[in-house]
Amino acid sequence: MNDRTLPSDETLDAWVAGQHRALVHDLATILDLEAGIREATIPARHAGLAADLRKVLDIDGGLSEITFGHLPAELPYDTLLGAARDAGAGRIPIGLTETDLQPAYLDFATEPHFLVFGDAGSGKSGFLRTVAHGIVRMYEPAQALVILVDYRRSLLGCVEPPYLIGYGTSAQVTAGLIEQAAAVMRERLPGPDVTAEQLRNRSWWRGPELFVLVDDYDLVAASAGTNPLAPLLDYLPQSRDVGLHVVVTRRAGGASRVLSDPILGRLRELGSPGIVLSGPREEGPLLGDIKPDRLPPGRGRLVTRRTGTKPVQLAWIPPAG
Amino acid sequence: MTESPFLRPSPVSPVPKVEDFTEFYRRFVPSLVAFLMWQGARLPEAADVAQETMIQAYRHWSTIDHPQAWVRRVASRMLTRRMAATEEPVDQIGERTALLPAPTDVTAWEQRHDVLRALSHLPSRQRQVMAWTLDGYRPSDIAEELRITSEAVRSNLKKARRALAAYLAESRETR
Repeated sequence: MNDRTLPSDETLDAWVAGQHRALVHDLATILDLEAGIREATIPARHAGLAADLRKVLDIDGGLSEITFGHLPAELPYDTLLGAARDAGAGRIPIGLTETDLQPAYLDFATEPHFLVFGDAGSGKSGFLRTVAHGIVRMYEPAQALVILVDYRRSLLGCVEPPYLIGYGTSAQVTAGLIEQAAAVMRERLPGPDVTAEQLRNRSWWRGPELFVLVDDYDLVAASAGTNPLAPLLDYLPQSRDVGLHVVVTRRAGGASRVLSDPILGRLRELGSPGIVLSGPREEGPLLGDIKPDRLPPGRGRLVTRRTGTKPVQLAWIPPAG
Repeated sequence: MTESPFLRPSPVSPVPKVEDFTEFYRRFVPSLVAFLMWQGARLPEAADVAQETMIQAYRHWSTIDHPQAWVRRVASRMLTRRMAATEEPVDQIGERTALLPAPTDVTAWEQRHDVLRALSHLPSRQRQVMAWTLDGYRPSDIAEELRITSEAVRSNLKKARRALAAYLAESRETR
């Protein structure tokens, strides 16, 4: 080391501060901040969709106005129907997928049941209203009947007779309805005299498909001791044979602890598709390997065996009244 | 022009306020990139890490209370991971990010900044400590961020300052 005098602390501080300012200033001129903002607010993979988005959203504004932060705010059901005009039989539109902004469908013909996990306000009941509307739109009353199990009564009015054949708002009422439903399912089971041909085209009975829509499953299964849905358990794997469809929503909080619950466990074993809406990440994987995340209302990840995982925004139908 | 139902504002939506994020982004990105460069990132890498961090920040915007502290922490950890994952010094320019779209003569640009030359010989710990200090963090805060002791922060800071002072003295002599 030579004995050159080092600058004083003040001199050094001033020099460092000056260098830092110059660096930041230079960076501000060389970086394209506007392009960066666009990429951050419109995920990079959507950049190619920008033009389509403009059309879909019907706006002339700058690109940074179009963000997926806006899409979730509300996707009215009517808008979705517009997009889903050519849905095809048995396909029920539920929302838009984020990747291509195309409608997302439930296809009860190929995947009979459906699971939804999400916390309060994440869009569970809204989802069931959308499904109920879809059933009414896609089927004649002779083709589809609905039982609602809804202790909080958030689905009131979303489906009416002749489609609606029972509305379970308590454990007692629900148990009675499900018993009756199970009795009908029992009669539909193929007997020994059913031929292979009949099995193939399911022609040994005629009647409507039965949709059991269960909101807040945590409340339903919580009622001491018996689970009012238990009688359906044996028919879940044979749903195609007997025309049974069960759609269950449950709070995400605490869901990981009850995944082995008979109904949820069976539905998961059967590889049922589902949606994971907003919820605490600590819950761990709820469907496939998908963990919940904090998301805006109606935003979730659709998990199916056929198409994998897709981010979706669910359509929104406000509660009646 | 018909009003699109998509754009109808929702009354109870906790959707991140895009304007706030945009404002934060414009104001803070240059400082964030500088912060990463002080720690040893080359310009393209710093821009890339800053952009990745900002994308994450946007996704979590509604849950972030202190955006500056949040992005500094996330960006430094990302940079540390990347540096640890790279065996040789990163001198290839990776994919261009939106932030750095135009082809730039990075080396020439960096050469214009004395301090980057001065820093280039310092161990990364000393550079980290300098970077956090410049952004106004006290040794105890830095110790927490880097998960080292306050004493280690102070001694690294002292060494870094001594090295910079020597560089400064030398550059003045040769002038």
